[in-house]
Amino acid sequence: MKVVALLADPALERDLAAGFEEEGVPLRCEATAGDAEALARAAARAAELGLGIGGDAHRLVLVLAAAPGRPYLEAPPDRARAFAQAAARVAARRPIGRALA
Amino acid sequence: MLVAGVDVGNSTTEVAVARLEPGREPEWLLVLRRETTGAKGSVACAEGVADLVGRAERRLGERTHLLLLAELHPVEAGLIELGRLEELDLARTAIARPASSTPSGSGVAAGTLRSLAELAASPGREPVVAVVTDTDFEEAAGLLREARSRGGAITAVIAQRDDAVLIGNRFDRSIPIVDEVADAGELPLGTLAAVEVAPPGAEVEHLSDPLRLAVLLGLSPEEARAARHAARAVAGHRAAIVARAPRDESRRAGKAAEAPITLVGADGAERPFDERETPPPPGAVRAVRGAAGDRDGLLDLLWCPLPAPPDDPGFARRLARRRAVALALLARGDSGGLLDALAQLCPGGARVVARESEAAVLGTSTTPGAGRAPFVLDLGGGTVDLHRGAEQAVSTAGAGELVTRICGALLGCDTTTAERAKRFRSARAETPFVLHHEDGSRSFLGEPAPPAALARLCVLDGGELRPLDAVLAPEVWRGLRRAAKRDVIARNVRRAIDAAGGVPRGELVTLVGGSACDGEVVDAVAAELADLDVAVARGDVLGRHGPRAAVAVGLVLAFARGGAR
Repeated sequence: MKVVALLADPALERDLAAGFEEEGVPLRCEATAGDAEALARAAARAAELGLGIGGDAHRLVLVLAAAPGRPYLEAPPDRARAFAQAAARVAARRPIGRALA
Repeated sequence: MLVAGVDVGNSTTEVAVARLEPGREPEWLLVLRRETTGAKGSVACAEGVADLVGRAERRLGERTHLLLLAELHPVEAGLIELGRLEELDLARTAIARPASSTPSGSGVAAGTLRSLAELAASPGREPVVAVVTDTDFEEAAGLLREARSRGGAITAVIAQRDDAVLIGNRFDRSIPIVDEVADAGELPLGTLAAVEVAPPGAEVEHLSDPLRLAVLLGLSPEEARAARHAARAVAGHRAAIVARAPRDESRRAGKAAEAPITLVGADGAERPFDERETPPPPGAVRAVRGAAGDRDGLLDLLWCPLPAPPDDPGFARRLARRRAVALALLARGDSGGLLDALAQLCPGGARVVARESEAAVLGTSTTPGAGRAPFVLDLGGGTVDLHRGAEQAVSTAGAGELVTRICGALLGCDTTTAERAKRFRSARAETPFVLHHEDGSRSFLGEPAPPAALARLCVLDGGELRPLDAVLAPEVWRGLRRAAKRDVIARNVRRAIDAAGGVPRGELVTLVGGSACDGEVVDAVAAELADLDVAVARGDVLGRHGPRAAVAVGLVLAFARGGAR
């Protein structure tokens, strides 16, 4: 079981992967095109862990599969590492640091 | 004629406004309350009273003619923190840090603290604990691999950032690596340090043992005994570091930690404060001196260690590190012309019409079904007051505010948050949609819990989840919260009753005051008094104000029945 991230900007992958690795939560990144929120929804539709991630050059978005209507977490690309750790903690049901939440 | 009974408490000021006509029962119009301004009975209280009187006039469209007061016995209730004393003591031997929510590796290791730059220059041969500050994890892992390839004996790593797993995966997954050590850059390079990571779900067992810690850090047998403080500081955590303190810090901290606290008894005899002793009865201590500040004219003094879960010794040890003791004080104050200040607020002035005990008993007796209320326990913010009949009163230091302070110390939060956590139930958002309640039940959320609340203990404040930082199960927090109420309020109820000479079997004991609004407090008091076989009930003043405003209402009743002093 892995969290899926659909990324329109490949530069996000390193920090996303590092954040998930630090938290010990498996992640699969796929390069694609589109806007972050739509990509997150698409990722959430196929989610095994109840959430999907989308990213573009402007922002990163996490959407819950059970409440895809609006982003659950979002962050600018320069906060990708912190966003990834928060997203991994949502997947693992661990508390998110105050700064990340 | 409109009159207002005014009760200025340590935390809350209440007014009860009624219309009085000759030959008639009072027509009750309004009860208002707000935070007390200034120390109870001091002239600063007039500001709060003026605010309430003004609000009453705006609500009723009619000015209050006369203020009715109880005899003024100004007291000052305060709290003293003792929490930091032992932390200073800790620094005499060591710097100890619990760390890391996601450490790498497992086990314990010790070595000399060395930076990556030092390792790059000369890896050395002696065991090393590497310190990584602001270096990227890829680069740090590369430098560590290189140092090891040149013979460096790296036994553990301390990282400033949240990078332990990333470094471990690229360097060595077997050695203990802790991260999120915010002051890693200030660790004393060149001194010995020990690092431990326990398996997931377990707690450190080497660094929490003073003798094992002493062996790891090369401490002398004398220092090993002092290492208990460092051991306590990291007990109960999954990952931790302990480093020997540099010499200058040892000297500085040692001096501060030696300041004692002295209690001066009613007979003038001085003795050192020892929080392990049972607090003396009201009136037995007249002054406190020393590290906690000097206070004279004490009427009572209560201290209370923080409660700990009975099945979690690690938690108990962490609390002991904070020397989690709060002192509540009750001292004589100075009214400094409060009556004169209040007299300016109404055309008819202000008049003392009863003793506080008389008013409390009269007001409480309006509780439906009570008939009369000969024993009234006023559970307030600063004190627990026992009123026996119209004449006798015993005040003990420590009530709702001390409970709040203890809740804050247990949860590591500010006073406003602690006040909420004291009053409301808690729950944990196990997933964005599932709440785990204090009784073990679960409920489903229609809207996802906010990210900040996820997997955290939260206060259920109305419809809102307010997250707390403490890592506690809701069931455990409920136990601690109830224990705090028992240890402060129920204990002070017992002390007050003992000091008053007891309560006859079968008699009615009525609870009033802000803290009596809390059902857990009422339960704790009833349990405390179970052996006396008395009827413990919550007041419901005038059948509509609950346990609030007993004294304010009683003052109006006393005046209506012809009382004036």
